Amino acid sequence: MSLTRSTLWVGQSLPRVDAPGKVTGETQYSGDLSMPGMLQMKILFAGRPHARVVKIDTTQAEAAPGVVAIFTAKDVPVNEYGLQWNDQPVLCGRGQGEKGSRVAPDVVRFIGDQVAIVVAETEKAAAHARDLIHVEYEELPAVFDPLAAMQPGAPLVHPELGDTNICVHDRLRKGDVEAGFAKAEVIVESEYFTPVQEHAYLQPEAGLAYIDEEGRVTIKAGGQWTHTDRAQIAHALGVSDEEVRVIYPAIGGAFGGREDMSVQIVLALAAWRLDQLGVRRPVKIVWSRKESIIGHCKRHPMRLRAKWGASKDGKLVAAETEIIADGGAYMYTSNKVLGNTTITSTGPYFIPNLKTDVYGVYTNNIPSAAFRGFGAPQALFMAEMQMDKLAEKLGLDTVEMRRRNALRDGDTLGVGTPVPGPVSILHCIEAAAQHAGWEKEPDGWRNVKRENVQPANLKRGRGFACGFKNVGFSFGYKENSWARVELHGDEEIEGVVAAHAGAEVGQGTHTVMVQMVAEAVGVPLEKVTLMTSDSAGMGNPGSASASRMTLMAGNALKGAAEAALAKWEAEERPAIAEYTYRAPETTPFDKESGYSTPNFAYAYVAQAVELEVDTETGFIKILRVVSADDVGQAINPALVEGQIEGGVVQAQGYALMENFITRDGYVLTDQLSTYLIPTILDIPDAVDSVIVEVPSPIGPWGARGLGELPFLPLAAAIAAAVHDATGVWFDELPLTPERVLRGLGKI
Amino acid sequence: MAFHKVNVTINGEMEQVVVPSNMTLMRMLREILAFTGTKNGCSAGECGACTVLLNGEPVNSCMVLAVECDGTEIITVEGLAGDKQLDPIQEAMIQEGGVQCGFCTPGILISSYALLKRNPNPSEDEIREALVGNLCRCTGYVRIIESVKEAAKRS
Amino acid sequence: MTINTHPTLPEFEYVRPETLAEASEFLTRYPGEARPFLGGTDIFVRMRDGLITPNFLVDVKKLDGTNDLRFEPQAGLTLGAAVNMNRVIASREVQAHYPLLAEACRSVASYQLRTRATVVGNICNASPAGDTIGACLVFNGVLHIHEVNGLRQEPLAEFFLGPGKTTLKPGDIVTAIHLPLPPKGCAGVYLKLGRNKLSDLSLVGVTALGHPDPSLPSGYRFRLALASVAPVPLVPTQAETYLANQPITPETIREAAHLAAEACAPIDDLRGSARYRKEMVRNLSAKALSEVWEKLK
Repeated sequence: MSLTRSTLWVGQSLPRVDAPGKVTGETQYSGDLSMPGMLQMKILFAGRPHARVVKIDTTQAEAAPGVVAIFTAKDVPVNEYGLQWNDQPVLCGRGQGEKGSRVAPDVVRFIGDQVAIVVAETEKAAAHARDLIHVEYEELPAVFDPLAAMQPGAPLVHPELGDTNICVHDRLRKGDVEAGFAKAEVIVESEYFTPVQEHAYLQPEAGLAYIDEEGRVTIKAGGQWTHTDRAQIAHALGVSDEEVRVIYPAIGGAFGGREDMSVQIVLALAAWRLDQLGVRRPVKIVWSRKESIIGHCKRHPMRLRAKWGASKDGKLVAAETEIIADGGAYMYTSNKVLGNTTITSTGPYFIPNLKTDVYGVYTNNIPSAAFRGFGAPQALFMAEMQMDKLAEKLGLDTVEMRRRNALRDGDTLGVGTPVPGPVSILHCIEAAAQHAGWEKEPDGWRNVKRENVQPANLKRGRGFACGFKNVGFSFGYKENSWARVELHGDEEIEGVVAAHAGAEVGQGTHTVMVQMVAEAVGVPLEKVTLMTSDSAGMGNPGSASASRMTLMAGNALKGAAEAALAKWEAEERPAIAEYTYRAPETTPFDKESGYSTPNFAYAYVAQAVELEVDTETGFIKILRVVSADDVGQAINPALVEGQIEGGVVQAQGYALMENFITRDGYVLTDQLSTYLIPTILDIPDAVDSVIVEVPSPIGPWGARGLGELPFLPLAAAIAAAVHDATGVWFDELPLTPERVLRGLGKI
Repeated sequence: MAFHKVNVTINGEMEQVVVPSNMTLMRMLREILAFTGTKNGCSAGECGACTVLLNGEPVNSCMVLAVECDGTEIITVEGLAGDKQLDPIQEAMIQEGGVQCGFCTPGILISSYALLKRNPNPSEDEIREALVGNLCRCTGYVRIIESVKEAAKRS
Repeated sequence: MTINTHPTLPEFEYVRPETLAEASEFLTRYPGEARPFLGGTDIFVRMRDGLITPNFLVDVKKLDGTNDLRFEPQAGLTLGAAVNMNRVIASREVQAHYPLLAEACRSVASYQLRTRATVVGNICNASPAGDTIGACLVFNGVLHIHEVNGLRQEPLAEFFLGPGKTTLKPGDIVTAIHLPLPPKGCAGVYLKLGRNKLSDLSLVGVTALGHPDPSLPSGYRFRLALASVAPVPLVPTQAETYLANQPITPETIREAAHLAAEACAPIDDLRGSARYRKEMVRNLSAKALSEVWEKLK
């Protein structure tokens, strides 16, 4: 299904607007920036999982050659920050910053907590002086296992916030699960484990801070949301938002990992305090790979328990689920991530009776937070595995099982309210199944097996899985996005200047924005100039996350363009209009039942995987992935395919290879030689993108969202294919060769 | 620590720089000569973002000492294009969508450029083998492979 | 783990002697402080991690003969210490006479790292994981070592003492590795298991070489060398002897592979458990020997 093609620019596979600068080396990322008189900064990380800072002695460090200044907790006006809750100190230690703070600022809660910053003439001098800072710590009992952390008497990570480490508890109560299970022909109970995942964007964190010509503390550092970066910086400095300016240079990947703060606040603090000391010089920092790996959040590891039942005809009748997620040392976005885990834990299926409990737990591990999929990949791994196991027990084909339970328009979700339509999961299932070689027969879908002509140790299998996820922010957040469009010219529109501060993190959003502006105004692409990525002079774009940018920015730009065109018609020159798109309202979970309208839009995906398991080595080779993603309307199909391929390979790493190992809060895989991500030799032989287009009634030109979709079901599809190949269920990721061989009983 | 005078030709231009013993080629390029197209992703020879040509052969510039480069010729991503004309591999990377965040792109371009110089018609396997030292976290590599194939056709 | 990292390599002096004699003399003058330096692919990583802190790196890449790659039909192959692995892979003579060595080199890291990595460097690091060591062992490689008092030769088989430990003394510079002519009618294979394709260090590496030898009861001589399964690159002689004395069949190959697995003493580490490694030695040895046997038959 697709829009009739009356569009000029929407739907065209145009080259990216930012590609020329990127292929010539001209594009500047934050680590590439320099300014005259620039100083260099290093951060002293605590390097211990739980301790109280008793004393910081910077005397020796201050006397070191090249040192300009050292700042500690006493220099932070409001020593707390956080995207959701202000539960993390900017710099651990005692100082003036207790003002209004809910948390003890002198406590280190994970190894990557920051204790001091050193500003010096050179990076080397800063690092040298950093090593001369003497910090006296009082070690505190620590807790690393979320299950242990939930027990009464466990060491508390945030004793000042209450007498438990449980920081999130979401519940769904729908129907009567006992009555539901009583109707079940088959019941499957399982326990799943999903691992930590490191974002491993190629560009480690870096930034530059200076006082701009209007006296604003200005930070150039990659992020995902200019305006919340600014708000968090301003809060910690105790100044107004307008006194802080955040500009994004080119950003070397994000995937959720740049949504929370890393270098931004301390950079701002350094430039701001130096200025107060009469030193108006820019300050720069570049993190090493190791600093990046300990310094930013990770994907939540989870333990997921599920008991699901289905009737004889393959209909789900009840599901009881308990999920425990390690939130790490601070909240970051755990409450929102786990809300999303809660919603997606049913899979894109109608389940009449539900009992779901999802817990987030503080530990002394690196904080968990946003990562492509935002809590859904873990929940969907569980849900989709449950579907496969039920299908197996019932003797049903896995695609047929899904078809029978797929959400349809008007169905209520686990939250008790109807899913906003149109629901397109069935379109995705059929598209993926057909493409991957399933056949539709009178009695339902059937997986047509091919001859296995491989050597005996190579077992082939096919798997199938689905996913769905919200587009845009949830749970009562007043979701909005601002844009401005200026039309210049006299008789004719000669130039269009569009402004939107949304972050280009590599996904191609700026290209899509230019296409949508050109479309909305009805001018050639070359006439559009896009201004982006600056908190000054631009309204709130919202985050480059939740697969939301095309829908939100598109509506904002379209609205601004339409308003500007109206002014143009009224002879205004230039015709300038601002517009803030406001998405339909949502509501938070009811505490007891989860009853809510949590989201205004969803997007859907189905994937099929064909792979080969080497039963002698345990290695899994992915032969083909078919990914059918409903994007509503592909604004730029080539970019859509690029997102699908990239998402699939990232998810393949998650499912097979990426093994983040910690011991007592310390990271043992803190380099790219120990934490492995897929290389060009590891990828599937083929990734087939099937673009499904079921228009969203609220999306610009019908567009939904995309970025997270291709990640969502892949791990489950792979595990299903491994089961198909070997007959063994693997309920724990990643499927490393060693784990596979152990599961096969070979070692 | 002693300093060393190093004469190098970078992208066709002679440069003379003074470097300490422990400075890597990557840092010399980025910090002294401002060729920031060469990226620092790991400083350990693992990611390939800092790949440059040293006397025509790709190296991880984070794993080469600047002082060793005395008398050598270096080509960075800034040196791939002619005066007005992009190299075919750059053109192809734009057209085929081989670029997303772009941070790995300079290294990928250098490795691909070197591959096409030594093997103008590489097979897909040869392309993959030549690029295994260049990590990319965005694209899933599919379009990078397509870009190299397309560049081979164009050149 | 290092939490608070440094942006640059630790400080050291870079020294480039004009002659081998000068280099040996310098290295002797600063025992424990000065190290010979080839491609740096291993040394830089260990320096950044603080595992070694040399005060001097003595660049031996431009010294006499270290850049030679020479094949003599009567004597065999001499690979200078500074010859990088891509040169080895591209060499027609290596491809013609020692394809196993080219195959082992191709399994090392990435193309751009192999522009710097050398076979001699791989040997001198004495990592049990060294991918090219096995090929040099099964071809009975001999090291050419320059020392203060002149030159000496040392069989590779006697070179390794432990992880990172060799028979080298201060002042010693390995200038080349010499591989005698390959046995007539030989065939070889290198099987490497890493956690990802190619670029990872080997979890297990199995080098196998076989050739007809009428003096043996089986009529064939098989050589094996195992990587990453013992403190040093390991030659499981029991397995080799077994195959020298038994008719070569799928069963005896399996038994030889079993003997190879029994000979190794792997460790648990981040990349894999000892148990898994041992099992992999068994499977890969069987596979490697079968593939070689297929080529010989």
